[in-house]
Amino acid sequence: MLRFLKPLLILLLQPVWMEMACGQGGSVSGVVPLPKRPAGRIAVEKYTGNISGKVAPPPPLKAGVWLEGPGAGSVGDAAKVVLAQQGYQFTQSLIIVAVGTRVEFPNLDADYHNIRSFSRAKRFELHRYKKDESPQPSEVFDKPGFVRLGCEIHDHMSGGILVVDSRWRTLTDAEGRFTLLDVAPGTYTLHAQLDEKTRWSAPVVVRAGNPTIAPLQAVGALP
Amino acid sequence: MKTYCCWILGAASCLAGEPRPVVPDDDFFRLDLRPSLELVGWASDDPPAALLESDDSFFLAPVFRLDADGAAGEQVFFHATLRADRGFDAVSRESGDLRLDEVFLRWRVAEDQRLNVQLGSFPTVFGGWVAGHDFFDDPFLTAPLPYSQIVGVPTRNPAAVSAAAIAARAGGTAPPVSSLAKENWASMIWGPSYGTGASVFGSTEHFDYAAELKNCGLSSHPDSWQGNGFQDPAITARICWRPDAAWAIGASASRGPWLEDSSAGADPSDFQQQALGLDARWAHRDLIFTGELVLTEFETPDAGDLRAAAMFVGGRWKFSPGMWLAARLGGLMADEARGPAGEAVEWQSGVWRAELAAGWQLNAALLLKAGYGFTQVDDGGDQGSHLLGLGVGWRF
Repeated sequence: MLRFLKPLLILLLQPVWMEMACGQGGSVSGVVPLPKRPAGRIAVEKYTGNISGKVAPPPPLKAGVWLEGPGAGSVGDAAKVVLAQQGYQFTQSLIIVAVGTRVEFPNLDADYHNIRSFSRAKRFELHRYKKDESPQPSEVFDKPGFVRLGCEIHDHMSGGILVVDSRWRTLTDAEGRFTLLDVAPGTYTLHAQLDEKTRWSAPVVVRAGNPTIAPLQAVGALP
Repeated sequence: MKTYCCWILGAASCLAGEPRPVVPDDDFFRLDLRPSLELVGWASDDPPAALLESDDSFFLAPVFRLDADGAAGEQVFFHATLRADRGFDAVSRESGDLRLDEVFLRWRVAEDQRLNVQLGSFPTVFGGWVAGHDFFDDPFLTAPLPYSQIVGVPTRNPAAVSAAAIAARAGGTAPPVSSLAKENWASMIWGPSYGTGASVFGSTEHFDYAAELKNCGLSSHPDSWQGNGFQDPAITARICWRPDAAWAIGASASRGPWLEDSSAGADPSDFQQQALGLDARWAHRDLIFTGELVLTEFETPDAGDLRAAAMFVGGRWKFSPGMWLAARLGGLMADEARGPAGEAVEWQSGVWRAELAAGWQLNAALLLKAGYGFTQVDDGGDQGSHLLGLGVGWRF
């Protein structure tokens, strides 16, 4: 009887055991050396008619950080992510999402936006849409890579989406600091990326309960 | 085919241009440079339509362009566009030309767009087409009919606009306007009309307004844009109502001299052009429709006012990311002038133009465009002229 119950008990208790194991994971932290000044064009409209309000300052630069290695693949992250436009800027300079994530692009300005990308990781164009449109314009990002975003109408707007196949991913703060929590013990490669050309990496070994400080090093431009 | 497209896209992606900040890490001063190359190959009947001035059936119009944007803080801006090409009206200067077409200093008085003051050389505020006339913004290769059709107003020879001279042209004893050098005649509006002067403009959520005082009228040839003095300035104004993001409905008015300062023996202030314009734009998702109507009159000493009306309607459809088709139809009609004996004489034939265009933006840096236009002049013998253009724009 016990011989038949044992596999059943293991099956039932596996999620609890996995949760406990994750709770005993390590963490990875570090600092990405971000440049001081935001990239992009000066936010001025050469000719009139496309901006009727105040242009906000561009959002602070942030880098995306993620781990690559055995078991680091993303796990069916079906949550929607929102990247809005407000004050004729993207509300964030960069977001990092798992492969397969749907990103919504709500327009919070009084004028049209047309968000588009010519990147190889995702070529798309949402076409002109206005404030409070329903359903919100969105796109699924199904291929890893860096997606440069722009607006057809407002040349100065620039943003990015970093699409990664990793369950351990985060953004830095404006000073470049980051922490990845609950990482399963193991050996990984830590990646950080700012834009199409600027990225860093470092090998890291994560031990249960121990914080790991990652010494990031710049790597060459992406092909 | 797919492989070749991938190679093209890949190579272009590697070369994709980003603005080049030349003042590093400064919170107050910034200067961004953006060089670009535009190359259009034209095939046309003789003479070519629009503001093209070549005698050849096939000709190339390369343009090297350098855009400079500067900022001092959040409210003072500078822009300059340097062009090296074969003349503003391709190819009016076959040996080459180097110009600063746009150079202006702007003070944004408020933190938002409500009030701006601008000094320098910049496009006219008249109409709705000018705001999107750059190569990378305009789906077509040529300007719409009211901005690119030569009419029977000789800007350098006031004698040629006398009642007798107009009657002679109408009677066939003088050559028709279409066979004469375009630089000696007026367009109702000469392209974007980069005159020199000052403007005040602004935008709120539902309204745009603009007024400018410049050194030349709307119809003036490019040589006048920076060559004219301010003895006979032109004044132009526009107001636009935008009930929501989809609609823009504008009205413009202008008054200024059409006779160039270099004309001998005449006072340009006696030769005024007046223009009224209505423009509308509706856009949503992958569609944009635009239309404009321009009414104008040119004062003459003894032939009355030469009146004409020109219009166009057009649309652009984006059927895939970065790819579009566009079509435009334009027409120009003229009232009759007064002949030497007070009789009615035709000073300008009716003109019709149909245009088709297609574009493919491979990436942020590389744009391919194609355009075809058929122009019919109602002067009796003309069977219409064809114009075909293939262009590439590269921001590097």
